[in-house]
Amino acid sequence: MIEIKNLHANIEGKEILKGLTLNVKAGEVHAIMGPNGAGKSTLASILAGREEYEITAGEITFDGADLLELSTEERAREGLFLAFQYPVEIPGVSNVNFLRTALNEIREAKGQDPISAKEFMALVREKSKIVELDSKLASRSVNEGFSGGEKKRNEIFQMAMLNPKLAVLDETDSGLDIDALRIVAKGVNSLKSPKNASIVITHYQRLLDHIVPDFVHVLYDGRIVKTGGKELALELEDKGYDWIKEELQVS
Amino acid sequence: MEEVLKQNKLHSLSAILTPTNLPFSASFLEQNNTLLEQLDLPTRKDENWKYTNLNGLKKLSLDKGASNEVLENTSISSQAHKIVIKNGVVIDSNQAIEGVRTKWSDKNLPEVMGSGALDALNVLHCSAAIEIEFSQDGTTKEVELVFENTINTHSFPRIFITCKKGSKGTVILNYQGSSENASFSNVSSFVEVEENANLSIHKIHKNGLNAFDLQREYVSQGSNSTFTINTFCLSGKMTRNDLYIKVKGNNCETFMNGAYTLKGKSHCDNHTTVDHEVAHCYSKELYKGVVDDFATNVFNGKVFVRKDAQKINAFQSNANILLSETGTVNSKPELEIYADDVKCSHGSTTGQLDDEAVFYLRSRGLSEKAAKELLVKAFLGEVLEEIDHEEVRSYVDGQIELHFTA
Repeated sequence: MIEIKNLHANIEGKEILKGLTLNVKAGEVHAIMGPNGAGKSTLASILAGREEYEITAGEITFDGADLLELSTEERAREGLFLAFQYPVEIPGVSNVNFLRTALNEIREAKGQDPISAKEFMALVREKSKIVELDSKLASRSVNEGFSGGEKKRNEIFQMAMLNPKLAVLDETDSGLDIDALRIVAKGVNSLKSPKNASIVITHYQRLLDHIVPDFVHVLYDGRIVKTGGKELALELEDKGYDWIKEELQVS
Repeated sequence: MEEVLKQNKLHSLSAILTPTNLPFSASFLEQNNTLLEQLDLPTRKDENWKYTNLNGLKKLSLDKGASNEVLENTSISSQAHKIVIKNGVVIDSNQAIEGVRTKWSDKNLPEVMGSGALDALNVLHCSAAIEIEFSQDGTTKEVELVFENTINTHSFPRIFITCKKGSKGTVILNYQGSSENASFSNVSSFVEVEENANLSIHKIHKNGLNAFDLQREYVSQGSNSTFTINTFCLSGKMTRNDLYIKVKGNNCETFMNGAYTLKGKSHCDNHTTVDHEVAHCYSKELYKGVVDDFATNVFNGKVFVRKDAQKINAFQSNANILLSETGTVNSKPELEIYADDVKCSHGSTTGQLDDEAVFYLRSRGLSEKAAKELLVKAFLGEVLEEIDHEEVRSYVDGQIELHFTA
């Protein structure tokens, strides 16, 4: 699905990623954990195509294509989805109007006809249920006046609507209470299929109780320094990140 | 001779324009002629023209050059009685519309003085005079004046609108030009909203790319009346509106909405004045627009609240989005309050589209252009929501879309 090889990236001259390598196959859920400043959000931003970052070395192949050559919207149309850590409020643009435009642009890129109003509304009803998002929220302005939990549920709702091949969830658990966390996780799980994959970026283990990863990676100082199964997340929760830093220093 | 022309731009301008053939009295023409001799075209030294330079008028050739382009579907409203004013002159349809007059004898042509040089110029070269009167038991409820400019000539109409006591009326002033048209419109309008009357005016400036369009509206409101004016500046080299509203009666409501979409080198200037002379009135003004390329927008909104005009609620807001690094916005909201028990506010903002919002939309598959269009439509949507005329709203909505594709 996605292959990241020896990725080096700078922002404003400061090197953040220092040779990151990651391989995600269809059907898999990968969790990326790590201390503050390790480069987790940078990775999410680069995958989505934020232009502030300079790629100095390495490559990313997404479904056979050179991801770094694609614009942000082309990546979205190819099936990459980023759930934002801080979803943006857009006054005056209704959620459904925006999603319909997005869906149709994606369909157009695939050479499909625009979705009919009826089909679209049926899809909205079906998918908003997954994240228990009030249909009123679906027709309101994008994220405007939404609570923290509603914003994150709206991200997952959008993900459900756009049905991406690869979803990157950037700290989707931050700012969520336990109920919202459960709903968001349920949404993500219900979208899981053998054809798509997810990268879950998180600080804490608690989200991984609900979204069970196939692999857990520790990102530290711009590189993946340790990879394990779901039990690695529990170990990190228990012992923190210091033991990994120590391990690295020893070796 | 050359020397004299240089000294007075107004006179040299007047010299190339055809004199009016409307039956104004000799004394009225003389009065305006005298004014013209005393005054000159406004310059940037005049406070009200600080950001708008009329020097370009000198370069207008008004050579009667015509375009082969046929203007189609210029009319907006399906319910309105229509009058077409083509290249400044009323096209006589021989169809009588109750309350509307376009033919004049010396006895009935109103002789109202405006306030400056451009009004005097309008009288001396007046090409059409149109009177619209709505009355309580009249059948005419809506009138659309369609001004079509396809020739590089002058179009100097005078418009008189009266909404009689207790009546309701809608007027659409629809200025349309062929795409490259370089005409000179100079319009003086006199509007009377009598007590308990409710008048709405929708103004569309969809002029040719080289056209000058200078307009003044003198509005007065009687007690318990409602007046709404919606102004849309969509295209044209220069568009200038001077809107003067005198609120003379108690319990009035006044609404001013404006939207503009500027690109290329177009220049748009909206000067508005609301003068609250008496107590217990409400006014609300909202002008919003986007400025692209090398375009310039000027907004100057003035609200006066006179000494005894207590319990006035007056709100004014202007917001701009610059879509290029070379666009210009000059915005000046002003309040002058002499009463002590009022609630007034004003504000002005100028900014750019939120980069984060553009990125967010793109990350969902929208192209950069589609993302910006969606955000601009949302921004202008606040003004469009105020428009209670369905067809006008959808026309303007369509024009905003065209702005991004053309």
